[in-house]
Amino acid sequence: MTFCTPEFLIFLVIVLSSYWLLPRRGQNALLVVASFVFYGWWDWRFLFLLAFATGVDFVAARKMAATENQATRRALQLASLAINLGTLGFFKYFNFFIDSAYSAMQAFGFTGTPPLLRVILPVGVSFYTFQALSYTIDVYRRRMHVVNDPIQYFAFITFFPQLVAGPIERASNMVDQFGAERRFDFAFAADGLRQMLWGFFKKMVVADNLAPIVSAAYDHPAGASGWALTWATYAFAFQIYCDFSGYTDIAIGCARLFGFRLKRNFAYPYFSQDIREFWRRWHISLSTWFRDYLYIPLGGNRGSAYFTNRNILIVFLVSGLWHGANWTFVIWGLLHGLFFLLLPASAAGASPDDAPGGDDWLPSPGVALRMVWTFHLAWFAWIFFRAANAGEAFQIIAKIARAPFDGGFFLPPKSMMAWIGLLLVVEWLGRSRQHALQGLSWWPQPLRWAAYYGVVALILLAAQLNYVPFIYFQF
Amino acid sequence: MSTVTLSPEAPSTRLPDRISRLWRRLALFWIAVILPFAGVEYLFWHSGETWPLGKVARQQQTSGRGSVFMREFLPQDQAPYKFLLLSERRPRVIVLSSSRGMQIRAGMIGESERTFLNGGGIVNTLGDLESFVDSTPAERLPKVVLLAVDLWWFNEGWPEKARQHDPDGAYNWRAHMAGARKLVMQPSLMRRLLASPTPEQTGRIGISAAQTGSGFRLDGSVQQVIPVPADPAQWGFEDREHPPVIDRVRQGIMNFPESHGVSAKRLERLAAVLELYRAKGIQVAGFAPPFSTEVYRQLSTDPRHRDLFSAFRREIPEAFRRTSTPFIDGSDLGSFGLDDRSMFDGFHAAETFHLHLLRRMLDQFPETGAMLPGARPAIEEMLRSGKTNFWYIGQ
Repeated sequence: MTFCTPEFLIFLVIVLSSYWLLPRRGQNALLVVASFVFYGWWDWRFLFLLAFATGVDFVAARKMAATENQATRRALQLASLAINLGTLGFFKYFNFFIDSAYSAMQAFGFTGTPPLLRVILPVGVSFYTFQALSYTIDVYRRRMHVVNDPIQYFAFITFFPQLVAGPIERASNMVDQFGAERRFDFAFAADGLRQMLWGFFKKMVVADNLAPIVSAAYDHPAGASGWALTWATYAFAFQIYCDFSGYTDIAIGCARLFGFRLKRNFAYPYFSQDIREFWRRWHISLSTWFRDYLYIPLGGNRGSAYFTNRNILIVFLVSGLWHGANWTFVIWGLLHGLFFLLLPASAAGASPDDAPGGDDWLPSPGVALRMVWTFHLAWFAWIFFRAANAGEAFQIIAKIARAPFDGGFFLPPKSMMAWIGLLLVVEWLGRSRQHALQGLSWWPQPLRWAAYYGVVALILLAAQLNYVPFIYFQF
Repeated sequence: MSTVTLSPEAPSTRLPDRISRLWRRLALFWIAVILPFAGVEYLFWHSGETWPLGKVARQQQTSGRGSVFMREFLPQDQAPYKFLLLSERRPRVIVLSSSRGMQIRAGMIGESERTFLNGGGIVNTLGDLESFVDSTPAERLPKVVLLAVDLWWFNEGWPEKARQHDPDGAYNWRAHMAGARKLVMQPSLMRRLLASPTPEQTGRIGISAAQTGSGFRLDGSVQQVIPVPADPAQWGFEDREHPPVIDRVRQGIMNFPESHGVSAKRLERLAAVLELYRAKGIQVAGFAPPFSTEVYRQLSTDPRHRDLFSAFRREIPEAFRRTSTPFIDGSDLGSFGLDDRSMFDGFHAAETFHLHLLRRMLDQFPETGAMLPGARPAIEEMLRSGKTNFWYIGQ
C-alpha cells in the first residue's frame, strides 16, 4: 500500500478509529496487524521475510541480555549482523557483486555469463534492516534495555508509517514510546495532519509533476539536448527532495495521529550554506545511523587526520552503496565525501533545528551565494544518482557542459518553475519550524482553513494522476 | 524565529471528547471538499458516464436500436465493451478490425443485432487477431468474420503482440479524478447535464453520446454524428483525426513508422492465423480499408512508406489467395469510383463506402454470397435509397 492512494486513507481511518479505543497492548497488537496488512499489500510473500528478520533480532537480543558471558553476547551479535546483512546482501547486492566480478575477470580474458539471480528487492528492506540492527547493537553495547514483549518489539520494527522508507528509527527513541501509555493530544495530532498535508503536496504535486520532465531527458540522454538535461537535473534535485521528504512528512504526521514522535529526517537541506550543513539536514536518520554505527566504531575523529578523513570517505562510500547496487551510487557517495573533506565549512546550521540561513526575512548576499553554491554541488552529484549508469552520467555532464556553446537554448517549463518557486517560498517562510506548515497553527481559524483548502485544491487539481512510485522504495 | 514545541492539551479533557473533536473537525473540513466531487460524480452517473459496462449493455438492449454509448471524460477502451457484447450474444457474423471497420452495421448485410456484432477496436495487431480466436470460448466463436487488415500490422515498427486491455475506466479513481478536473472547468456543460434527461429516457449513455448523439450502437458499430452539408457542392474534405493522418504519414509517427517493406515473419503469421480460423470452422472475408486521396498518394510516393505500401498491396491479397480466403483491397478510393467525400478523415471511411466494398466482395467472390446471404438485397436497397448520402446509409 502506498500513501498517495484512496486505499491508504481508508485504511488509516479504519485503523485510527479503532486504535484509540484500545488499551496499550491492544494498540500495539493493532499496529502490528495493520503494519502487516500495509506491507503485505505489495507482496504478501515478503511478510515471512519481515517476520523472520524481526523475530531473529528479538530472540538474539533477549539471549544477549540473559547472559553475562561476553563471548556468547558477541557471537549472538555477530549472528544478528550476519543474518540482517546477509538478507540485505542477498536481495540487494548479490547480482551487483557477481556482475562486477565477472566484468573485472573479463579484463583478464575470462569469458562467461554471470549466474545472476532473478529476485525481487523487498520494499523497504534497507530501512527495516538498519532499524533492527540499531536495536541489537545497542542491546549488545548495553545502551538499550532488552524488550521482553514481542508485540511491543514487532510494533516498533514494523510500525507502518515508517516501515518502508524511514525515518530509520532508533530503538532508544521508539521502543519506550511503544512501552508507555499514550494519550491523545489534539494539538499534536492536528499538527500531524498539517505535516501530512504538506507531504502530500510535495509528493503528488511537485515531485510527481517534475518526474516526467526528468524521465524525458534521463531515460534517453543520447537523444536529449544539453539544455533539456540541465533543466531535467534541476527538476530531479527537487523531485527527489519532494518525493523523499514528502514521504517523511506523511510518515511523521501519520505517526503523530497514533501518539508517536518520530525522528526528524529533513531540515530544509537546500538552504544549507556548505555541504557539511547539507548532510546535517538531508536524510538525517541515515546520516546519524552511519555516524553512530559505522563512523564512530571505525574510530571517528579520534585518530590522525588521515584516519578521520578515511573514515569519512568510507561512510560516504557505504552510504552511496546503501542506496543501490550500482556504481553510480558509489560515485555519488564518493563525490559527497570529497566535497565534505575538501571544501571549506562554515559554522552555519550546527543543529538541524536551527533555522537555515538565519532568522532574517531574506538572506544576505553572502549567505544566498553560499546556499546557491552548495545547492549546485548537490545538483552536480544528483546526475550520478539519477543516471542509469556511470557512462551515461559522464555523457550527460559533457552535454550539459557543452549546452551554452551548442545553442538551442530554451527556458524550463513554466509549470516546473511555478512548483519549485512555490515550494521554496513556503519552505523558506516556514524554515524555523519542524515542517513548513507548522506555523499555520497560530493563524486565526478562517485564514488557517483557507490555507488548508488552498493546498487541498492544488493537490486535487494539479496532482499527477499517473502512478509515480516513491523513489526511495527501491532502496 | 525559534523552534516551536506544541503544548499538550489540558489533562482534564476526556479521551472520547478529544478524539471526537478531531473527527468532527475533519468531517467538517472534508465535507466542503467532498460535496463538489459528489456533485460531479452525480452528473457522471446521471449521464451514464460511469455506468459499468454490464449496465450499459442491458440499457442498450432495453432502449433498442437508437441507443448509443460513448464516454467523454472517462476512458473507454473499446475492446472490453465489445467482448462484453460478445459474451452476451452469439453472433453469427463479426467484424474484426481496428477503429477502421467500425462503420459496418448489421443492416448492411441483412443481419440483426442478435446475429451480428461489430468488434471494431478488438484487433489492432496480428497478436490481437490470434488472441481473439484462442481466447474466445468455442461456442461463442462466429461462423463468419469480416476482417479489416491494416497496413501497419506488417510494419516492424508497430507492435505485433496482443495488447493488454485497460480495465474499465469507470472503476479507476485516477480516471475519475482526471475526468472530474475536466468537467469542473466547464460549468455550462455541468448545467446542461443537470438539466438533461437520463440515459433511460434517451438511450444515449455517456456524456459524449448525450451531447453529440455519437457512440456505439447495439450492434457494436459506431454512429458518428457529423452534420451533412445541405448542398453537396459545398462539401469539402476535412481530416478530423488528431493529429491529422496526413501529418502522421509525413512525420512517420504513430501508425506510420518508417519502413522498407512488409515483415516476412508477420506475413507468415497472417497465413498461420488464417489457417487457424479455418481450422476452427470460421469463414473469413478480408479487406483493406481505404485512405484519403492525399494520404494514399503520400504512402505511394514517400520513400519512407512506399516499399511497405506497395508490398502490402501485393503480398496481402496473395496471402489470402493462397489460403483461398476472399480479400478486397480497398486502399484506393478511386478504384470504386469514389472520392474523399466518402471519408470522415484520412483513414476512416464513412458508412456508405462499405456498401460499395461489400458489393465488390460479393461480385468478385461469389462464395461470400453464401456466407452473407442477406447482404446483396440489403446493399442494393440501401444504395438505391434516397436517404443514403456520401456518409450515411438510409436505413
